[in-house]
Amino acid sequence: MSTAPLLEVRDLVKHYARPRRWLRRAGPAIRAVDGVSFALERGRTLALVGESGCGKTTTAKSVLRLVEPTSGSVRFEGEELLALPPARMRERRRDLQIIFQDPYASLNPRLRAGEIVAEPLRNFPATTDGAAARGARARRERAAWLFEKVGLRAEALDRYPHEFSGGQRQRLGIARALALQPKLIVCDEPVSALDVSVQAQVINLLTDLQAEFGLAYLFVAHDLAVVRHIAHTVAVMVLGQIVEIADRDTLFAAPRHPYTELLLAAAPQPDPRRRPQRVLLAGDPPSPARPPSGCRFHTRCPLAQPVCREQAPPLSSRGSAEHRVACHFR
Amino acid sequence: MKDAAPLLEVDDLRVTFGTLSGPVRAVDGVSWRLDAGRTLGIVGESGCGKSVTALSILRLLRSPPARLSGAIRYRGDDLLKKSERQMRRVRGDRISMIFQEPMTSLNPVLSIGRQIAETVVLHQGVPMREARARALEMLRLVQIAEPERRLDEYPHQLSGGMRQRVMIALALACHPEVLIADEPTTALDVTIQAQILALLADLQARLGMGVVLITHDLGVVAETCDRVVVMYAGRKVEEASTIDLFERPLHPYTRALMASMPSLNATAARLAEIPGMVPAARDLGRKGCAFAPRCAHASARCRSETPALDDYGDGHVAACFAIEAVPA
Repeated sequence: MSTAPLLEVRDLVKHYARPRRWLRRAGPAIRAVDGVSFALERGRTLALVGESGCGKTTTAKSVLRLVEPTSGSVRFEGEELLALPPARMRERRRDLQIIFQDPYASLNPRLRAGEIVAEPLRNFPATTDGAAARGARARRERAAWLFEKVGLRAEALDRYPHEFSGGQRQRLGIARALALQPKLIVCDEPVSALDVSVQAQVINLLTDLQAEFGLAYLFVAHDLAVVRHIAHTVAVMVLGQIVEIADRDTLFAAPRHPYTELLLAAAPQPDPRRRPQRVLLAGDPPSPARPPSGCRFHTRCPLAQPVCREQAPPLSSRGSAEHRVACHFR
Repeated sequence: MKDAAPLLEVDDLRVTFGTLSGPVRAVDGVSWRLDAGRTLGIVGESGCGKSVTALSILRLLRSPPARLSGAIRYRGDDLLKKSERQMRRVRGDRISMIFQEPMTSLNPVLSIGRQIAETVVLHQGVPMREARARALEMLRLVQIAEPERRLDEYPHQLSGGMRQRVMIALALACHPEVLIADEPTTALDVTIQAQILALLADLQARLGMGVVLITHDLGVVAETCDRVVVMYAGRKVEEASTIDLFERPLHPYTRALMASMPSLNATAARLAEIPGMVPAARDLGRKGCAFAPRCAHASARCRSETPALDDYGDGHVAACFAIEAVPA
């Protein structure tokens, strides 16, 4: 087989045009994602982190073409997804699944849990999984098997989504994503709506499933502690661009970009004897419709110099090829 | 004698909701006290009754269906005995509240200056012009950039962090003595959360209010609270000073909660899970320890008898039969 990474994203751009309003000119486009590149290997997890509006979810959805990117390239097993005609893309989607933040909103309230989980098998009867599960009975067996994999009891197959708790609904979403044995699952904040005790269950489940099925995860999150437990590689985004990308241990132990540093320092620590005197990020993030010139973080950066306003720093290697940082001074 | 009364005291509070499938005991005999200038944290998972407790204090629960018993004393005065008219003088004036989602708590069709000024006019009977000046002063106090311009803006024009600052300005406009903050930073990014928590701590130091902080985040508790009440399924299961709680958690639930938190420092491959899930509403208020079905140390006694809160020194209380048996 090829040596290409499972997923390779290059110069991904997504601009949202602002509609013309009555008697007014169109506003500037919102630059949600503005030149993002990364690669993800089989069986690994890449986390995209950053504040709301930094483009992490848009990036993840662009990979599945749930959002149609403005330009750039998304290669999956060496094949350019953005050039695929709709029918081919639909075929390809069986390898690319997604789980959402709000499990309730992503489950059809009128279908029974077993039907929800078996629906992908009905949609893709030509796949091996689909063929093996042809007919209602075989599908039900397959759904029961998936239920067991995600830690739900088979008795629950006939229940409706509203009868499940938040954590169980997320398990249901995971079972559905697993139905066609995909190679990549996009996880869009899968645990941020869950209680702490249930959050741990779902994180452990995702880790176990990765080990068992060799899944790759593109994991979107804002909680750095969760990312620390699940990711192999972490990419930090600011206003549509990656400012730092590194393997997990390097990023948490020796962050280089000032934004990464501030983000790590801002996370509250469960240690009442060590109440930190932290440097606070001043102000709110600028609008992605009018991103600052030069480095997009310069308006809030404690290290900013005139050069940061004028020149955008490139994302370049520090120490190793895997650790890349976009900063003039770090 | 009145001076000896604590600023706010919740005494054996019980809240029951009448539902189609029978009564639901959302809060079951909860007591705690808050002193001026202090921050009390209430932690627990969804459905543990922490928000219902907060709403009960301001009598914001519609009753019926809610039935309240026990006492909620503000400077010795039982709020549950006040008339609705008297209560209106307490709310927003002596005791204020901020909520998790500022967008749904602000009026979308009024400018933020108007909303703050309205509160001041209602409670303090000052003319509108003076109230507007107070609104401006409040926006400065909560460190909103360009406050003069923001005064005439509407909630949708502000970012999430700024809306939460406006909520705080609104809550503090009449200089209350108690601020109840229900998950005030849960909807915000960590960097903005750090700003808001620093702001609340600063305002508390300057204005000397007592703060009740309701949260599910033990990190937030560790950084901001003096004392902590841990709730599970409508009951208080443990209470201690923050340092004591983190260094010597006694209740199996508190310990499990701490162990299941993902941490920035640890890289343990697996997180400790709490098996099962929080009890359903219809199971609240049953006999026995509500945590027993998920507890590794549960015995037959835990299922049949409700453990009382015992004192383990320095006002550290916990409700568990197995505390001596649980390895530290």
